Amino acid sequence: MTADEATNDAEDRETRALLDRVRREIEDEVRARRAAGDFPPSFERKLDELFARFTPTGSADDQFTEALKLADRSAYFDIKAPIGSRRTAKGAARYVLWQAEAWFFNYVVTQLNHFSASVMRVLHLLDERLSELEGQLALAVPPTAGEEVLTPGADVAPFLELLTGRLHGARGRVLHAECGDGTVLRALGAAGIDAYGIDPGTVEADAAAAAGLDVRRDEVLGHLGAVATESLGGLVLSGCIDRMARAERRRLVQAAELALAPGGTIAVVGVAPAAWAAAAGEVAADLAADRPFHAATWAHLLGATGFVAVEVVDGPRAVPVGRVGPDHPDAAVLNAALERLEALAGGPASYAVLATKR
Amino acid sequence: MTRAVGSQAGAPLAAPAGLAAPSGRPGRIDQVVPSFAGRDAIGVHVLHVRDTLRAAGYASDIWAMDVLPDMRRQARPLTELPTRTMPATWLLFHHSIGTPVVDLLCDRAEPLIVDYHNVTPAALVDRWEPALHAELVLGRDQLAPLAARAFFALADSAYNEQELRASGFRHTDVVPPLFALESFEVDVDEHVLERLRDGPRARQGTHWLFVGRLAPHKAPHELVKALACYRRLYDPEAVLHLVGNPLGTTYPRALARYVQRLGLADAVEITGSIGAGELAAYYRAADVFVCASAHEGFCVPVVEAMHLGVPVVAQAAAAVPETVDGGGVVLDDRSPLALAVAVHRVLGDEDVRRRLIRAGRHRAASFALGRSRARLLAALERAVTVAGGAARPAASVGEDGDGAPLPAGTLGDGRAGR
Repeated sequence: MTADEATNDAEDRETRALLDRVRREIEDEVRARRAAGDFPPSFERKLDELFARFTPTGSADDQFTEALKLADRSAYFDIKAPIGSRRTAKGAARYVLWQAEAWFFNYVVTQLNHFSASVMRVLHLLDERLSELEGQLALAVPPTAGEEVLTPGADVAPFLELLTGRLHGARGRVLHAECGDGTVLRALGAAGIDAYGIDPGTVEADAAAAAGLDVRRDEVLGHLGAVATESLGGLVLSGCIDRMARAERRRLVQAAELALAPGGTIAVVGVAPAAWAAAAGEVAADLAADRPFHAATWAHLLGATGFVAVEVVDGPRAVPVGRVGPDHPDAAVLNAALERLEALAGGPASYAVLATKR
Repeated sequence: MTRAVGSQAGAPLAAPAGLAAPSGRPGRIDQVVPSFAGRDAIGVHVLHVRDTLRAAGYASDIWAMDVLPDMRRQARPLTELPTRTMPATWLLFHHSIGTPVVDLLCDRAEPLIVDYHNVTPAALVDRWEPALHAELVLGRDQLAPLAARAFFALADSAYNEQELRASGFRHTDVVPPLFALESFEVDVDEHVLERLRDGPRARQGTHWLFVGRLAPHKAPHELVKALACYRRLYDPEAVLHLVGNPLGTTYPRALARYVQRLGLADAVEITGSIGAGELAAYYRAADVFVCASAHEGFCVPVVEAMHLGVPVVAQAAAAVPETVDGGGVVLDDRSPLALAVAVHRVLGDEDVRRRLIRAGRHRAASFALGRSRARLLAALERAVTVAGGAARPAASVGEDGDGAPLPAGTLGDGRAGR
């Protein structure tokens, strides 16, 4: 290596170190500004929402109607091409004529293509909708009137320390869906993690947004489909995941895999099926259309989708049983029996399944 | 429908694809491009490739389906391409969008190399430009037949090369687009510069600049959001200049309405297509070059900014990180706030700004025409090896330093230059 090359090499290393430092400082300032509240999350949200109003298909819910409108607008073929020209030289007349002919046909064909592409877009949307409906019809078992089970979702509180530990240093924002009252967002924010939440619209979520948390009214599948590929540093899923149809849960895992940046963590916090069934009652549980998955099922889905380092962490027991104090002469024997009894009476009430995007 | 070009009546086409395997060195390498314009990045690249090939001793012409008026003397209409197989000739096809030219090439027998400039993912534009959506989908679909037909492929970036590999191309190499850094150094339009910087109506705030098509996948709307954040947090006088041709009408109209609704009509300038002197004035006046593109196969304007000493702040997507590669700040966080904070961090610290400019110039120099030409010729040497010809060490090919002319006949003997 020559002296010049060595100097360049050293300078290059120095510049890259500087860039790394600047990037870290930028990330820190972004987090600090969000946490301090001097830059309300609602401002960024409003910027997004306002732009969505100007897109041709508006919000996701309006896609079908708007696509039809677009097809309607394109379904008119203008036979009069705008061929105004300033060229009058006689010598170029034949050339111009030839050019105009080619241009005219190109003009017509472009419109035809525009129309056919619009129609195809509508058909694709119809196809998506039908596929979704077919999937739901095949899987859904309608609950009997009055016996529908309302699944409130797992209590996330026992997992806050676990989540903040695993999501610390995430490269990109962390999303919590459904975020409810923002308990997880507050914990993540307190740990210096840049997080925002979505919720389809509950009183608790509205209160969290009013309190200054970055909470958006959205549903998880639509939102994950709209975020940029590999843009999220982490993803926490709770609540909705216990109520979704099986096909939706598969789509959710695939959408999460697309949205997460490499090395990003996904955490699924769910209700244990046994605890859910015990709370719902036998009849309602049997007739319920969609029921929570076992932790092992989520672990299987995540692994099959390509996530690595899949780990299951149990939450607190559903039926906690007390223990005999150490001063009792038979404490060891009695406590062993109580522990066995507790295991037989009920497993954990909830669980968290964690995995890493490869 | 897709066989119309080149299938002249009464003249049967050459043997079907795949029957004629490449063997040895060609005497001629002709380029085929669907649309040829002198001012776009692919057009400039094609001209430099032709000149490089000729300087290296190959005969080389450009064939194009659509030729813009300024390029009529540089290219020949594809309809004049001989129907019979051209002996000792390779074809180098530039792929960036769906085109019937692919069908034509698949029906010919000359050994084929694909130069892949990437096809924009259709999902990024479909709701804005449905007709373009169809062409983009076709462009992606055509990668498979091209992979089966071509024996070698070039890619502008490692990102593009990865897509080629995923599409089934077996032998590939990365060659950045060919352009002369010196061509960015044109005389500044003083009137425009005065209007932007020095004149009585000049804006005093920070000048942000983006150069590229006004298209949804380039995401200038994200830059508008970031500017809104920046003005709110740091500099209420900051302005954004969006320089480039609009794509269609739907997106530019929506963007203009968005800017209007945000009350930024005085702060966001949408210039449309401008001349080289005007562009130079915008670069001279700019404090920072910003990029929030959702998709780029390379991004020449980023290199242009780095070469002209404008610090670059970009959000990571597609090939942007690898193009910038240490020459600017690249953010993983794609939020508008992160971009605004990054611009402030870069411009608020004179030492950081100065070192970033130096790093940008250093990075831009790695795309000097001489180096890129050498990489092209080295890649062609690899292609010769793949084709089974007598290869020479790549290091001996075209290592002429920055901008130095290549010796004629570098790649072999007995080939007449033009």
